[in-house]
Amino acid sequence: MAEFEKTLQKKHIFVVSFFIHPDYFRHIKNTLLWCYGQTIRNGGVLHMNQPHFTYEAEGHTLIVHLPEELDHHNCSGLKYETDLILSENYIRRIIFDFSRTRFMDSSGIGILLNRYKQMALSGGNVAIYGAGSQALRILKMGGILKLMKLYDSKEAAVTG
Amino acid sequence: MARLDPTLEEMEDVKTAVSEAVTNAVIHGYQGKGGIIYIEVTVEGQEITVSIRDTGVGITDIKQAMEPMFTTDPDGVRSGMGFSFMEAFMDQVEVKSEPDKGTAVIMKKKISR
Repeated sequence: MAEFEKTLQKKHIFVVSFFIHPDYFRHIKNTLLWCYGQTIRNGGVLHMNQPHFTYEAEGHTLIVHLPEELDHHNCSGLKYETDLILSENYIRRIIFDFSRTRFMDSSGIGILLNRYKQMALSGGNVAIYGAGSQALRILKMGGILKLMKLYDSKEAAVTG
Repeated sequence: MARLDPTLEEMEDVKTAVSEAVTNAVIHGYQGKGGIIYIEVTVEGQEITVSIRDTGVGITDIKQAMEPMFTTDPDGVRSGMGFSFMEAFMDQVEVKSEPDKGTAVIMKKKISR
């Protein structure tokens, strides 16, 4: 068991750390690329069950890559982490990437609504791309699609 | 549940409803402090019954708790849609609760074939 936990911890150490300063966004992007490289070398953990959020910035746009499962258990860090990024950077648009997400419940709706309100207060907006059938049903039921624009691809979402 | 030969959508429905009930038990029942959540599944004909029970703080006003968008969350992160989702995804949702004793959510769904 201890051995198992050790390997678990080993596999999850590639979490993006935050030292957010505008200049650090490039650093984050590089870290992200490094993470991808590492996880692929580690047997593609990122694609199997990556419980963490990863962040990517393009100008005033923040792209949040959501994990495979978006439930209460792994939603908890998102508010804190995005608050941190928003407080130190001029972000006008948040884009949520659902392409890896196979499951979400009302916890996902809660966090999306929360982020929407936060962005609406500062005159920004929120968009979504890559949602599969299960996520899409939940997004519709939660009324999210009335608030956020849905795009087919990352490129379309970034262009707006 | 597999022997009922459910569609992918029916599987997802049950999974979502269970996730909602378990989340409620973790956040409300045990106030995030941890505890045992009992999950029981029975199958009768084409009907699946899932019971999710905790021995946490219980719910004083079940009717209010089940109202759409009702939440006790002060941070504005919780949607308050948990019970609404359970009701939307299952055919029948019954909640039994007693303060300081715990809560049981019993959900039924007919699986079409």
